[in-house]
Amino acid sequence: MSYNKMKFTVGLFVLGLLFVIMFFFYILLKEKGSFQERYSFYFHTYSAASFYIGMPLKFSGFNIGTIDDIALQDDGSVNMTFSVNEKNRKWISKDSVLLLRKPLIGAPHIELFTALDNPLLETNSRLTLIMSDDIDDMISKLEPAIDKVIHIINNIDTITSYIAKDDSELVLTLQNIRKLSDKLINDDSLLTTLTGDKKATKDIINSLANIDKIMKDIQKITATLHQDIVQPSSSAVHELDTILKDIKQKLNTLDATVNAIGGYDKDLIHLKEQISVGVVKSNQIMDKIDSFMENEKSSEVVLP
Amino acid sequence: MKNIILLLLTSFIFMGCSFTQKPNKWEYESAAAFESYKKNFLSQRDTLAKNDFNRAVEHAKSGSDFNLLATIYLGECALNISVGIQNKCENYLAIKDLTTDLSLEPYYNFIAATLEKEQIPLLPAIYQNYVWHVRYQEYSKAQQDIATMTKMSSKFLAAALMKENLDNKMRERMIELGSYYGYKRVVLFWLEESKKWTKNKKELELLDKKISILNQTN
Repeated sequence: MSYNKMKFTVGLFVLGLLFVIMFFFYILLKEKGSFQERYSFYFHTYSAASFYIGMPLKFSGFNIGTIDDIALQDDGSVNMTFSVNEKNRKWISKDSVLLLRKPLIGAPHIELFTALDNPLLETNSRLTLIMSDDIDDMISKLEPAIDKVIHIINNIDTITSYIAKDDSELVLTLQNIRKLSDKLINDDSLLTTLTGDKKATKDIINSLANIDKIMKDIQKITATLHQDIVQPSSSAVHELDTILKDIKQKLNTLDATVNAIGGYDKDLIHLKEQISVGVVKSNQIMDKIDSFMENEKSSEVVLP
Repeated sequence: MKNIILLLLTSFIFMGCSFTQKPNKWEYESAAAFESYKKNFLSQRDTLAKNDFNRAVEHAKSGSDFNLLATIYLGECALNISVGIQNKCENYLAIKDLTTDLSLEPYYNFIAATLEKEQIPLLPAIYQNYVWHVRYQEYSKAQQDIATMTKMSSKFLAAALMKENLDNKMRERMIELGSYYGYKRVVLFWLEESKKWTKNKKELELLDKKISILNQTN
């Protein structure tokens, strides 16, 4: 082969290679949808938190578009522009609504809810956005329950501190009962009554008169107890019952969530396996690099 | 000229295509991983060192070569000792009854300072003179032996084994060498050693400052 012919062949080969590379990039970009016409729409929100450029817009679990632009307006609101390709244009119809989902697990995303029978929405039209924050929802649902529990604790605290007071009716009653029992123990009149002593009988009658007085005192105290302590306690117990029912209902809801999370176990095991494979592969690469960097002709471990 | 380059490149491609894997590839990979471990360990790149060491052990195990495995464990032990980390070579002791290499036990006794006179000839040649000089307490000659050693890791090990009998000049030399090769762990060890033998207050402060700076993560 002559020198000129070789030069021509090499040139032809290089040109051919360039053509193939360019064609490959063209096919790649075409498949990525870079040459397709895109249809833009927008929505307003009060904050750009949780949004980012390139954030997916999902419909029935499929990515149909992305957020292209986020701009702060003069009134402080945020204008979000998103676009869909021609294939997915049909899902954006009139009265379509966007829902920002911030799930407990996973990245936030936007979901599209569309009315399929409605006519298509014109491009550059505005859509309505609704926020759905699972974490906030859960917190807001739990807040009343927590408030009620705190209320109960406060009530119990009031009751116990009232009972603990030295001058409370309950304490006074107990003191009276103690005095009475002391009298019974110290005084041997009961014994003398049993033996038939008149003096003792008189004493017992006197004691009975005292008991009557004490009973009146107790009655008076219990009446006060009913108003001041028993009634709030009963109300608090009733309230506690309602709250516990509420908590049980919420726990049932949580149970379903926990079961759903449990379903991710298999995914995690799979992920772990994949990571292990990744580590082994990276170790293999490191072996190759070491063999390349170190003296690969030596098969002996050299001691220090 | 162009034709020659073209021919060379083509032949390289063909050579690359004709490479076949050696059946005892694990031996080469184990040796390479251990070499990398030595450097990373002395440089205090612990994560990398741990990975290298595990790979070296893994390859030795994949070949069921207990001599190689014991050598790796001994090497790890020796490296630890060379930077002042106490190590009783438990890994080696656990498998030494499975080894057939007669040079391993003398080496273990050498680093454990329990070497018998009869075992000295079985030690690597690089340590022969040094061991005799240390045995006869000729420490200045032993230091000369260290200075003439060609392998850096052997230098560090030999110096660490007689650290109590080194002069300050040799300690400084170890710091210089560790610094030159980027072996931070060696430098830190010999800075600590220098501290023990320095009485000058200002020098002590400077040594402390150096150690503190080197130990800072950022």
